[in-house]
Amino acid sequence: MTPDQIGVIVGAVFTLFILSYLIGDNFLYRFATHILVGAGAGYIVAVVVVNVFGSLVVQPVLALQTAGSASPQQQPVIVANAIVAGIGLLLGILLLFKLRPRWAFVGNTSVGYLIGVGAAVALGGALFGTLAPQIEATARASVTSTTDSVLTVIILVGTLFTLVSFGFYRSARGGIFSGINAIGRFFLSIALGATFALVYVASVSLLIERTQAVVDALRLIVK
Amino acid sequence: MVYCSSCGTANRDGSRFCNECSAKLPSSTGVRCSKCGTANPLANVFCDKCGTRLVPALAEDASMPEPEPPVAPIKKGLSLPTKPAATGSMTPIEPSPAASQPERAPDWLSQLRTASASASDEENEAAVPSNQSDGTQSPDWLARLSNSTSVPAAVPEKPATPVGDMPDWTRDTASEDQPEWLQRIAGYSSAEGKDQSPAATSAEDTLIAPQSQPAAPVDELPDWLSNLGVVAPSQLDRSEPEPAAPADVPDWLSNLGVVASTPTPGATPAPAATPKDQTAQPRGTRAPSVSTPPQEAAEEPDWAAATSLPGAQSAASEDVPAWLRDMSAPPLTDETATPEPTEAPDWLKNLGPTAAVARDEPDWPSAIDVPSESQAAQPAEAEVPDWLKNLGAAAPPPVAEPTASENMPDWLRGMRASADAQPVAPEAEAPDWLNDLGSSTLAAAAQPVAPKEEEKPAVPGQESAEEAAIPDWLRELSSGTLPSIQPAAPEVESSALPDWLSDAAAPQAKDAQAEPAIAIPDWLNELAPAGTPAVPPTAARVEAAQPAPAGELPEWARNLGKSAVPARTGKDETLAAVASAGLTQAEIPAWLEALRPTEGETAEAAEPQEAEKEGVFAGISQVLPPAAIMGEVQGAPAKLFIETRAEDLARAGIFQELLTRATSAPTPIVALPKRGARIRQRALQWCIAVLLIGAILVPSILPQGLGFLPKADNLPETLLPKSPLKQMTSLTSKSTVLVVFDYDPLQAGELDQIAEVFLRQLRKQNVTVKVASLNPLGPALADRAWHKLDAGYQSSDQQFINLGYIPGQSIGAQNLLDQYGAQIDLVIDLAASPDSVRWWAEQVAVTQINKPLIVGVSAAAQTLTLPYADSGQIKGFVSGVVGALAYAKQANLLPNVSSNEKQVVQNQVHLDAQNLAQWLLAILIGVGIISGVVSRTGRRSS
Repeated sequence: MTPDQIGVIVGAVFTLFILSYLIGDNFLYRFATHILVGAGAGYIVAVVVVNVFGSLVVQPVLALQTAGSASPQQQPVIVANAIVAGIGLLLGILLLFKLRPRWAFVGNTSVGYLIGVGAAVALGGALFGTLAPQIEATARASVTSTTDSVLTVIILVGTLFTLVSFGFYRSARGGIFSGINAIGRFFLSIALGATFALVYVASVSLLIERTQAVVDALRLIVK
Repeated sequence: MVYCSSCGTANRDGSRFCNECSAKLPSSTGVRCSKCGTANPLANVFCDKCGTRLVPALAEDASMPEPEPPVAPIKKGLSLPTKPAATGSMTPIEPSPAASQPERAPDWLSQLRTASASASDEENEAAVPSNQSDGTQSPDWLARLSNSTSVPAAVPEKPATPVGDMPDWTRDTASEDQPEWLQRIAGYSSAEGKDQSPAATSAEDTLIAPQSQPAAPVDELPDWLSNLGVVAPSQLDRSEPEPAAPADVPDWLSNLGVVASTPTPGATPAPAATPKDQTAQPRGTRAPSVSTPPQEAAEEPDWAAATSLPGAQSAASEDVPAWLRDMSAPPLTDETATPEPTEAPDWLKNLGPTAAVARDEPDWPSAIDVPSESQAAQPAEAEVPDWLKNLGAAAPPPVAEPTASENMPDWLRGMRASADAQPVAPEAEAPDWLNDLGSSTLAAAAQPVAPKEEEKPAVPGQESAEEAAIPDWLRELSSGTLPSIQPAAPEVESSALPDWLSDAAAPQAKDAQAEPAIAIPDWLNELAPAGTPAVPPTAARVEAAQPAPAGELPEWARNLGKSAVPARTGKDETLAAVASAGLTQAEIPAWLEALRPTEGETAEAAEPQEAEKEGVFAGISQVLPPAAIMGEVQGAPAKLFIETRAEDLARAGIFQELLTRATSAPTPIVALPKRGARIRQRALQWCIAVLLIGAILVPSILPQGLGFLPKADNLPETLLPKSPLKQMTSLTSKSTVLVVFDYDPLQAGELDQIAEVFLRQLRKQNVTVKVASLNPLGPALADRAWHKLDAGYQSSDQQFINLGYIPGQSIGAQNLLDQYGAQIDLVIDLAASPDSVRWWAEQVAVTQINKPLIVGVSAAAQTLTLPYADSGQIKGFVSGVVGALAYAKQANLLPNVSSNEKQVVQNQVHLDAQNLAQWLLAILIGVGIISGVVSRTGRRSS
């Protein structure tokens, strides 16, 4: 039995453990859950240490030792990578001070750097990668056909009314905002229903894959 | 002391054997009981063994030269000092024939009575000449006294016979006109001196011993006498010679004065002596008394007789101490006895500061008068007893006395000190009782006393017997503590007032000639509240003697403070008694009146007040109600309570409960369905699970598939909203595609289908694949997916490059695009969540690498990522397993049956299972909606 076959069989067993939740919370379900979470966490730590700390911090610093033997074109790159790695290492070390509340302020620099950079990137991406393209796409809606025109109107109305329905004001009975809110909530309900259906589709896909894995495992066992 | 005849050792009185040589001491040194024969100390009145009264036995034992027949109870005369020198052993003198005439009053007393009678008339100012005119009947010494008042510088013509320590007054009284007892005293004095008379030896056994007793120390004084001594000097100091007007004297003080000055109730009111009258009287002769019924006086105890008014006593002879009777005997007026001042005893010398002024008169009056005259200073206080020191301490320090008498008795020194210390105040400031004390004495002196037949002078023999009955303490007091102060009158009607008391009152009264009154002592002023004016002038209210309280110890002397209380409480009775006694009610001072509770207040005070039952004052009575006070000040009490509703109280209770509840995680409230419902719910779950599993397994069981389900190779293109085929087919073998595996093993069953389609196409086109992941688990899935393709396809290492995990999410994507943006031609994002698609779509737009982005997402993220595809940001969009199969068919990537039948079957089974499950789910949803509507309609209809 190859390791892949053992993996299939083990995967099938754990799949059955997870599916045992149908009869309620039990040890098999918890065991499988713990194994999945633990194995995933351990694997994540290993990946982070190897791929992040080792590759992005240690290797650039160690590369300085061989910078002399490197080509003159690569030496500045090696030094620059080492400096960046050193800065990242320093910021990472400062983050360790967050473990002790008394010295937590030392790590504020690193946190500030992370939050600042992340906010800047997220904000820029949201503005120029989501909002602006979406507005532009909406504005460029095709009205060449009747169907497209209707769909474009529906999308526009649905987007605006949904945004209005999320407004922080009291819905008035019988007023214009009452209808807007109702239309907005309708569009929102359609979107959530479609999302739920697609989630269900994704879940069914996963169940099918797992069922087939179990069947394959059974076939391996039978064989 | 008893001196041993053999060794001469001094033994204590009453000792039977010598302490030094054990020789038997004379039995005469003690008083042998007539009943049991026990030798008792001379100070004993009763036998120590059998209790028999020793006084008669002592009287019988007294060796008197001529025992007189028993006589009827005589009226005691004014108690006059018979105190010899403390250290002098005086011998009795021969009784004078004049003294044996009871019906004959002494001349000086007659003069006093005459003067007093004349003093009763306010307009009678001729009393002085009458007294002077009657000087022939008075003793010579008294006559000299009278003369000395007007002629202070009288010098005795005859040289004084040396009489040793005999007091001056005793020397002065050595006259033939003296009563017998007085003559005996005179003889006693002279015998002790250089001029001893035969009578001295005859009475030596009886008189020497008692009178030779040293002055008892103050500490040995009985308590009542000590208390009396405390009061007496003050009283003496405050005795007023003239009657005071009704004043604001407190009742208790008035009563006290009444008690002290009215030993006999039936005394006849005597006119008060006026200063004018007193000016005519010689110094030291103002101690006549008022006659009192003898039967009442007989009941009077000795102490009362000693402390009461002289004239108020007419006690039985056997009850009267001898020394008192001796004191009541007329003084000796021996003109020839003008002793040298240097020969007088020291204390007597000291008592006579005015001896230089009037040497003919006894020293003691001068000594007493000196303080009142405010001319003498106080003697040294070395010998002053403590109680007198304390008494005198209240007064200002005395002024140095010109004739400082070091041997002066302590008590007298203290009394003088007190008298000196007291500033001469008007008479009006003296309290009533002191005025009464003085006035009663003066009144008695001023009252015309008619000699009665039954009044007889003291019989020598009887006097001796009476002297034997004197208690030791009195004897000591009379001998030592109370030196002779005043020459005794030959005979007074009835008086048992102690010499010191009467003498103290008399000189003070006499001194009132020059000084209108005596200031109130400090101790009395201290009783008054601050700011209260001094006690207003009092009037001589007591004009008659009052009966003394029975018993040996007077109540007023025992507890002066307590005597005031009953006088207060029994106000009406006291007033009635006072009125009946001829007393005028004193005017209560304002400060004392303010202190007197009214009847209402008394009744209120008597009412028991209930103790507080609650609050901080619980259990404490007499607590002022604060609410009442606050109400008076602030008006109506404020409303302290807020009207609360029941729901507010409930909310407050809940809030209080929340505050007091232990901090713990709230227990989740799980509404357990009923058993039938649970069974139905569980059955429903199992049914759905079985249907789903069955729907999934049916395609596997039926490899030919279900005919009503679409085939994989016949999927519509509508399943691909934005086909990536164009972007994928544009890639060449030199192209580099960045494939991002942003999903984890949980979504691997779905996304692996999509990744396989894309990777298969990339491998097919021999495109360099650089794999990265924003999820830590992504790189492993990428390797597995890539190597899964290697099952029949061997790739080179340069075609597949796993960049690994890229941390930082959007930052990592940006960093990765920045780093490899220029190297790649296409970005394929295999994402399980719309966030990952957003990150890549945004960063691709931001970095402006202008590279196409193809997204293969899970079906669950389709709705949220599809807008990016519609906007053109995503050039290709594949969603779910069905989308992957659709793209595979479009890209012609599906294996055919001939090449890979198994893969074709698996794809079809997967597709059939997916479709079947979706249909099943759609049916279940529809059934559920219908059942719900039906059930709701049924409930409404029912």
